[in-house]
Amino acid sequence: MIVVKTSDNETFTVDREVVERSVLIKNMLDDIGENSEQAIPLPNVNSSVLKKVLEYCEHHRGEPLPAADADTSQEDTRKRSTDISEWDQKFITVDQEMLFEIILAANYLDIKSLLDVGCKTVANMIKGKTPEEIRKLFNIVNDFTPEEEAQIKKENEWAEDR
Amino acid sequence: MWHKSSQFPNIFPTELVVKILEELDAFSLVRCRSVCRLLRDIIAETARLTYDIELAIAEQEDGTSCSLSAMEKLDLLRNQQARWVELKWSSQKRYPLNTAGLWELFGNVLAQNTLDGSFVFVQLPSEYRKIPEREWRVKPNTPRFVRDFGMDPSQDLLVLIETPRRFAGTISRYHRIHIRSMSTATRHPLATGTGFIKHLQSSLDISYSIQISMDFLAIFFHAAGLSVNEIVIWEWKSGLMKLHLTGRELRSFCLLSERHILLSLITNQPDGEDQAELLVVDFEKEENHKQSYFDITHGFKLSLPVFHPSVGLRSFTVRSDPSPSWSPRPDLEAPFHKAQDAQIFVASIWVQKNTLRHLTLLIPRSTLLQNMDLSGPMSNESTLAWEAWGPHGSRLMEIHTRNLSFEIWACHVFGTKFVFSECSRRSKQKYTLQVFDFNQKALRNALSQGHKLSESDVLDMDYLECDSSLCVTAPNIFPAGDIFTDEIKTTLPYRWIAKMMPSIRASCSSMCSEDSIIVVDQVRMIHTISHMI
Repeated sequence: MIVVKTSDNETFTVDREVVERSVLIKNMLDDIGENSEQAIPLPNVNSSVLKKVLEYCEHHRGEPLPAADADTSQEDTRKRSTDISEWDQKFITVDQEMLFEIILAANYLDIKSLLDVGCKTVANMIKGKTPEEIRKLFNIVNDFTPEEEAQIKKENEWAEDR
Repeated sequence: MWHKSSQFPNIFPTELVVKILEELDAFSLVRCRSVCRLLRDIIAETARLTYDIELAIAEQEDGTSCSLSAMEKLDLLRNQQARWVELKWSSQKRYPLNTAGLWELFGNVLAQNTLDGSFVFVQLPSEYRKIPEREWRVKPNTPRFVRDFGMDPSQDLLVLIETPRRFAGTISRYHRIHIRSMSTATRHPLATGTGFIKHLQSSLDISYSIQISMDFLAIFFHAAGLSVNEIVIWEWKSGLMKLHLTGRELRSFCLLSERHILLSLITNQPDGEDQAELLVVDFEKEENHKQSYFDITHGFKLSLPVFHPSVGLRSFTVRSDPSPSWSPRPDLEAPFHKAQDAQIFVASIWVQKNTLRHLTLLIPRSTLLQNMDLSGPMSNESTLAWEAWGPHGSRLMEIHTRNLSFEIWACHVFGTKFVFSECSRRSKQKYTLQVFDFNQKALRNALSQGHKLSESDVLDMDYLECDSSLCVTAPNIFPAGDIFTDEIKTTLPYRWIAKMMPSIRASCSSMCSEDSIIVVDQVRMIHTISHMI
């Protein structure tokens, strides 16, 4: 069993197999060795987010991890699908703040499949929306000058409905 | 409470924003860049995302078997697009054609059937997509006499129609259609059984049109005289027949999608006048036994404008290239290629009104596939009137040409481009090459960037000696009572590019492929003009 400690000083005791879905933690464990009793500090993740992340890792326990050089083939595969499995879909149905925290945690902990699910979810939220709807969705302020806005409108004209 | 920096996109490091944006299609990306400066800048600075947007405008698809980086591909794409807009080529190459044999150009491969029965293939080079020239020669052991052939380089497929033999005791002709490999001329490894398809055809003198699209092989049997024309579609791997239609009215075909075929018809109306119609048939749903086209249950017709009674309809053919599901051979590692939807269908209509006149009707694939819900048994209800699809969904032009052989060149269209060369009216010796590009996205983009606009229909201008590139939005108008009974107006915009060709002297015809324009001159020399970086 491995002990990890969150930014708000909570400790979690988890199966090594589960926690090792995080490449960051796996590498740390490989470095410090099997027998360390010390809690692994995760200063970038708070306890509520880590709980969610561990729920994900627990569910996907035992599934093969993506190969280390997966990044090189990313260009080919990224278009393949924006499908998210049913369980993952349910899992990621959380409020926006939690969704972003999960993405940041997955990025920090290096859990590729969870990062993919998070990014696809944000992308799916954007799809089919107008710029104004996207701003409203994420509370983004329109910071263009009128000139810039006119320029962009021109550049985007080809994609407007005919 | 959330403060500004804890929102998307500010909350994420750039690489995570990029990762999210990479999940989006070009249309969503375009909307994202209108949201705020940060998203605009990230999209502009990420080659992969800019490439996705520019691919969509160019109506191209990414080539997945190519190892170039997004930045390199983006450069190649911009180069290609700029060169097509100005018809700026930097390489010309001449290929001699042997004078007696059959020849064919498809998928950028030039094929010739020589007198000794060999096939010589040349993969035409493309410097801007880094495709090298390659030449190879194969000689099939059988058949001894090839009447016609077709090919699909992306599947290494060569289809040979053996000169038909008379079937014992009848006038029927027994056809053997051989399914071969282009690289070896032996039986194609995916063809089952004997490696040939048998077909019985009842007329005497036949010519053929062949098109291959993925698993489908379509052959149109043009019968001479009063005999009936036939169109047959097989699955070439199994030899199974998918569709077999007959009819004197059938004049030509091209495959429209993975399951639809487009046919041109000249029908005799109750008032005795000839009328041109297009017929779309769903060959996945249609019965696969031999039947008259009139008995189909899964198709619909599109009417052309009504011809004036003083006009005689001489011929009506449709063409399109490449085949619906075409993509380049993976081993060419093409960085990108024409998108499947980017396709126009060129209908060529010859009419007699005192003199012989030539009309060209250009129809985007989307116009033809829009009305699939009409599909059903042949009846008046399943016919779409010209007014419902033609005026805004097509462009009808009269192309003045002295070159009557013009329409025999199968490949004067590629994707959304239609190419045509003609001798100047002023100087008889100088040829001008014209490209009509119906890519609507690129056109709208060019227009919004302030590209030069033509106020009049270019074909009305004395245009043939100019070098220019114009967006044409003005309508083509045929006055009432001339060729058509009513006034016929079509408005689908296009880009028109004209380029003088000082090096060409003799009368010529032009063809278009993905990377080049090919001009065949009268001395039967073929020469290609390729684009280069």
